[in-house]
Amino acid sequence: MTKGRPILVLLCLFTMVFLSGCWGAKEPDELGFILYTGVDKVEGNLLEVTFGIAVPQAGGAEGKGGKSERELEIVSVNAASFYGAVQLANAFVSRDLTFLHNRALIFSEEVAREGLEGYVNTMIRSRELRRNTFVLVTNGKAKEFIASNQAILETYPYRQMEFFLEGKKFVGFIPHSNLNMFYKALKSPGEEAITALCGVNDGKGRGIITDKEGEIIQEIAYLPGEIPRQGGNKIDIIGTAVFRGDKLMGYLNGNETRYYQMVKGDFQSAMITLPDPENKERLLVIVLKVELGRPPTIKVDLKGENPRIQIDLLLEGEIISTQSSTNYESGVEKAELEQYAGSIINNEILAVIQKTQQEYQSDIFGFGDHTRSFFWTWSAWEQYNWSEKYPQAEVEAKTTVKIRRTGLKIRTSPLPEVKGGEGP
Amino acid sequence: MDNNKVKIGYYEVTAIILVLIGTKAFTGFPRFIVEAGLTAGWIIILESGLLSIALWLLISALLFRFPGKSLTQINNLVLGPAFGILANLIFLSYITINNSNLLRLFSEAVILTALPEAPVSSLTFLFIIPALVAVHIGIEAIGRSTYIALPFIVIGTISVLAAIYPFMDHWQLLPLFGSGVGTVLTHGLLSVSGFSEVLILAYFVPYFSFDGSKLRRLGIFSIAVSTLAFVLIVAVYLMVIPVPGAQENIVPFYQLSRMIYLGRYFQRVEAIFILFWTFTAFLWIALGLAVIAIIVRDMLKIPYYRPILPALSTLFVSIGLTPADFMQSIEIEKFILGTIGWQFTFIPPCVVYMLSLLRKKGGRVKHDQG
Amino acid sequence: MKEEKDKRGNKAAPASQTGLLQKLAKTLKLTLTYQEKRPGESFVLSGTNDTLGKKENHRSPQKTRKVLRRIPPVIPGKSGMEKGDYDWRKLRVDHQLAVNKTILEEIYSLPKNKDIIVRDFTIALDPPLQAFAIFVEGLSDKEIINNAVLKPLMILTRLEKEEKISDVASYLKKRILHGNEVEILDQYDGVLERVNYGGTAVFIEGIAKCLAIETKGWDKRAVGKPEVEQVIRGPHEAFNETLRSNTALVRKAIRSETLITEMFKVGARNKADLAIMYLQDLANSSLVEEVKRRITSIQTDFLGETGILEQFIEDHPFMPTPQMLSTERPDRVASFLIDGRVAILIDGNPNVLIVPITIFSLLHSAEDYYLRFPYGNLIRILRTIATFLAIMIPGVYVAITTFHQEMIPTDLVLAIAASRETVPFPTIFEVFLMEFAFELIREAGVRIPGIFGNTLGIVGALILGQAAVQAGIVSPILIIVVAVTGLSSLAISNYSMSFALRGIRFIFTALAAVMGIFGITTGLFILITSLSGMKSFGVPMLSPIGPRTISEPDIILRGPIWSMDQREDYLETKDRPRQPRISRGWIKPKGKKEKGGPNG
Repeated sequence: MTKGRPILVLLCLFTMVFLSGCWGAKEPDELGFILYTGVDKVEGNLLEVTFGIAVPQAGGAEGKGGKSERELEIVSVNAASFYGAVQLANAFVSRDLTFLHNRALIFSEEVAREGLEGYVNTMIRSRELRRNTFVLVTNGKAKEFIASNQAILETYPYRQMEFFLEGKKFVGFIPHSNLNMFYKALKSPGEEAITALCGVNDGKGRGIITDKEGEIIQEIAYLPGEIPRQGGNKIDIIGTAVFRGDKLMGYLNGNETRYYQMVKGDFQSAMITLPDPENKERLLVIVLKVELGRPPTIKVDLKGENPRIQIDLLLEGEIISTQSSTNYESGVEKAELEQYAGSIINNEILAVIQKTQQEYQSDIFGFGDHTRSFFWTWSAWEQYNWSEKYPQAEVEAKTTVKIRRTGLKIRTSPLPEVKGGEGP
Repeated sequence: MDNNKVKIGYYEVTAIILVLIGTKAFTGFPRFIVEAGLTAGWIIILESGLLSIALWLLISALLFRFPGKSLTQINNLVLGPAFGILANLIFLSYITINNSNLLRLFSEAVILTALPEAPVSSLTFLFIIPALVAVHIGIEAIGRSTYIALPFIVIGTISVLAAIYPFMDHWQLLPLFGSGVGTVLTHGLLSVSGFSEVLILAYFVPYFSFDGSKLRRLGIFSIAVSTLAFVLIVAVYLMVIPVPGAQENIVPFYQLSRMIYLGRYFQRVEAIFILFWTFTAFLWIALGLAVIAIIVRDMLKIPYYRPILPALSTLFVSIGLTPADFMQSIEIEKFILGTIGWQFTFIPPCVVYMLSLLRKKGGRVKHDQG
Repeated sequence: MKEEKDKRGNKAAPASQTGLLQKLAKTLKLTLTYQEKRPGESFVLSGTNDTLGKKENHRSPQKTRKVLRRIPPVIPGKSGMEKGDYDWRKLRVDHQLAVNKTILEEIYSLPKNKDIIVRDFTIALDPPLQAFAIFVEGLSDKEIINNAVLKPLMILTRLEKEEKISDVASYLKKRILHGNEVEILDQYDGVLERVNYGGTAVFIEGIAKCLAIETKGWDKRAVGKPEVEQVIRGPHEAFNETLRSNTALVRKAIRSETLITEMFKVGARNKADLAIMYLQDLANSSLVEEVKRRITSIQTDFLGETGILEQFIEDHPFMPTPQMLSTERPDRVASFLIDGRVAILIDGNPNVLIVPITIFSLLHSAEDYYLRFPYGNLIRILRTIATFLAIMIPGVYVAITTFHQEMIPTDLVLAIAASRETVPFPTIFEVFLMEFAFELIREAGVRIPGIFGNTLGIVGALILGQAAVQAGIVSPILIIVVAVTGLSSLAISNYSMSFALRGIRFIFTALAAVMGIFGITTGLFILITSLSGMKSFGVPMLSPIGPRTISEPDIILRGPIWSMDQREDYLETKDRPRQPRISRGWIKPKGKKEKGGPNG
């Protein structure tokens, strides 16, 4: 039998190999890799699906085939369903379109207001699309967004979206949003979904900074397309799209997104510009780099008539810049600055929460998850219907700012009086 | 039985039982549990794990009454030849149907995850032929490769669970008693068959190269470890893909591995997961085939099992291909694991134990007389 | 008519085909109608005690052959008997010199056979005795023959006159012949054996005995450097083609009286000397018996190479991995002997076989132990990775580029797609093409005469690497894959093992091309399971992890030398500990040291 066994093994191996043929094997050069997918609504209840397909030669190995001008081939197809559009696109795209490397799904405002459930269900079911695909809502047309997105610094266009949504954690105005998070929030009774917000900026952004006291900290309170700037890539990614259920309710601008992230606990760090409390008349500013000292403590109390939400936030800061010669680095001034920054941030946070309560009626902060511990069973919790209760909730917030570092300077000494300094 | 020199060591047997029980984690099992218990899925596992340890204590007491004898032989001794064969047939039919169905599930899952254009029949063949070869080489060899593969499987599983740590949200484990205390407890009782593979230990008794008294400890250890693994997997699954969505995924563990995203350079690694997952599937099918072959051999009292392997694998494939579609196959698995499994697995040996006490059969009685 | 013709043609021509078919049918039949192995065939290495008594019977064949039969001396030329009709070996030495000479002339086909020299002379005794010496030109040392055989017999015998010599042969042996090894033989088989191996036989008139003097001496290679298993640290000594100097090299390393060298003759026609070496107080006796049993049972005409012997005595001839370790390093053989294994040496062969062996020892190299613990482990890790790479890389490349494109980073998948733009073949064909080219270079490199070495480098690097890419036949990324594979398989220290990995690699690549990662898993499953089923002289090939046995820390990684205090459990050696638990005597418990110190 020892003689027969290896022959049997070989026989089985060969049978297996010849039985099968090549199932679904595809050479990488037979595939058209879609990097961006955009969904718009057009006339006649049709979808207009836009694909950004990677052109391999653009970033490919040197030598062969030469470099192509375009890095993305952008095509749009009108069809009744998402996959119908994919099928139709094969009529004029030579390669087999695949979502294996799809980076971002972009929905237009119109589509999002009608509800995204249908699309999200389609995409969650897909073998090719994965749950960590970024989801964005544009405040214009998805097609326009994809068309006007010209990666300038990157040779490889597919890196760009990852840089924006994964790399930019130090600004705080781009929320992390992928398909999984969206789906999770969509299905959960205790949380509402958000996505990152993007749009086209044609260089005619309006400025909204006023010289009024207090509003100076609104310096990033823009929606995409509003940033006053010239040159560069013609897109902006800033702010948050707020959903209730699967329907888009409205937007949070860049500034509000920061405070939303602070409460949510996703906040990494950001530089916040504050008016100088000691030198208000001269319109000087202080820039603080803040980060979360610890995850925010959120307590929800259901005992009263309305739910009560208590938020305790600890921010740790570093002085990045002071324009005045006041010595904020130590002593009373430091305590005052901490106090002042804390109260400003606290008010802003309360304003954002109030906006979601009254304007959008959408608990994007996930306070509802903190009510789970009041219930023993899932059905009891579901029946409590948090999303109805949230708008009436009473919110208290306490923000503490602690300045831990001061950069390379430990002390600001005043200008000599002879040079026009004020002196202590 | 004298010319039979097959001996399996302690570690190999432990690995075999762990793989036999634990492979369920890679099928729809976590989903069944979540469906039954919602956020309290892990309590169900814990409960059925503890219960199966209790049942195993009973069964091992039965085995200790007949040292060195397999459950097949014990059934024959206690119930007599006719009823003994009946008792053996109950477990045999259960495990045959379960194995065949798992063969189908694995094949379908491979289609789903790796080879979307392959026909299911060929994949069942691709699973059964290497299994056939492996069993033909010998149960010893499978035991050894199981022991060798187990650390890799464990490392693979743990690394998947660790890599999705950033997505975990502990709030999703609340409310504590998801679908209600009563439902959770009932399902905990019913899904005890999730650990029924520990019974295979009782059929391997004549092959042990170690002291039979370690049997009880081995069973408890296997159940405990796999309970821990299941609890961990279900809990992580719940934390990453919370409840309403958790009931939706066909292969939960695959979905978890698809979610791995540790920065730009470490993502989309589920194909590596396919590697150790399908390896486990191969082990499972080969072990299942070997177990059935051994039980049939013991039952029919024929000297060796190799001649019946082709017939058994044909049986596997044909039963496996009987369900019309994947969904039906999943329904069957759910029905077996969550509803009727315990009647076919844990109950008969317990009944046999009672009878052996009543009819005063077994080693201890002999000692008393002598 | 036509059909008949076809049938006849079919029947006549492919005899080999039907043979194969029959074989397959037989295999299938055997599979279906399985029969349990006969108990005597398999060998399981188990404990020393129980098997010792059982196997004792096997030793007999060596002895039973020596049944003495008195055969009347015949003079073949006269009786008209043809050569070959009679077994010359059983003849006894005759007392007539002429008869002996005739017999030898007949045996060696003299004077046709020019290698055999017969020298007639007279022994200067009282009375002088006619005698002749016979030896093989080239195999024997002329100096020794002149000084130690002819000179004493012809001249020295004259110096000392003995009064009465009762036994001339033993007198000559005791007093006259001062060669170090002189035997008195009375049968031709012993005479021929010695003459054929460089000895000199002296036949004397009137004495039915023959003096065989050891006069071996031929041109041989000196002990050289290892060619295949080179190390940087460690001895640079290798076996050569002379059995005796090989055994001496081993004995030089193990200066122990328990080191046994047992000699056998193998090959019915070439009668090569085969030696097995083992440590009597370590090696499992049933193992030694099994090695002897397998070796003595071989019946073949020619067996002059350990490679051929390996194929005769291995357990699984059809499995890819070798089941014996072949080495040319005496230090390695010594360390294996100290483990309790058995070494098999054949004369004329610088490769020594070690049995039994496991997969892990095939992947180790001598240098692992000579380097310090961290460095040794570093190269162990490197080599383990290389092993996996050598098997898997082309397969994994094919699997993920054609089935799992999502696994490749987007940058890379686009780069691969771009580089494949001009390639007219599927990936699997590219891989096989380049793998084949690489194997060709490798094979050619072994066979090529040294002068053309440079040419090969140019052809290999330039034409196959650069030109193939520039011609658009293969993609540049693939060259990297093939190069890494090639390097990895060259990093495997054992030559046979690296062959095995090369073969397995092609199977894996084919499986991956058909079924992607799933195919690789299938291959892995069958590979690991069949490896677990393999045995080398009763020891499972994957021990000590499959089956798990107690083992010193030396499987994939190795522990510090002082931690390896036990011999491998699977070898069932007679003496288990290699060194005491605390082998470094200078590390003593602190309290003790203080007490026993010079102050205390």
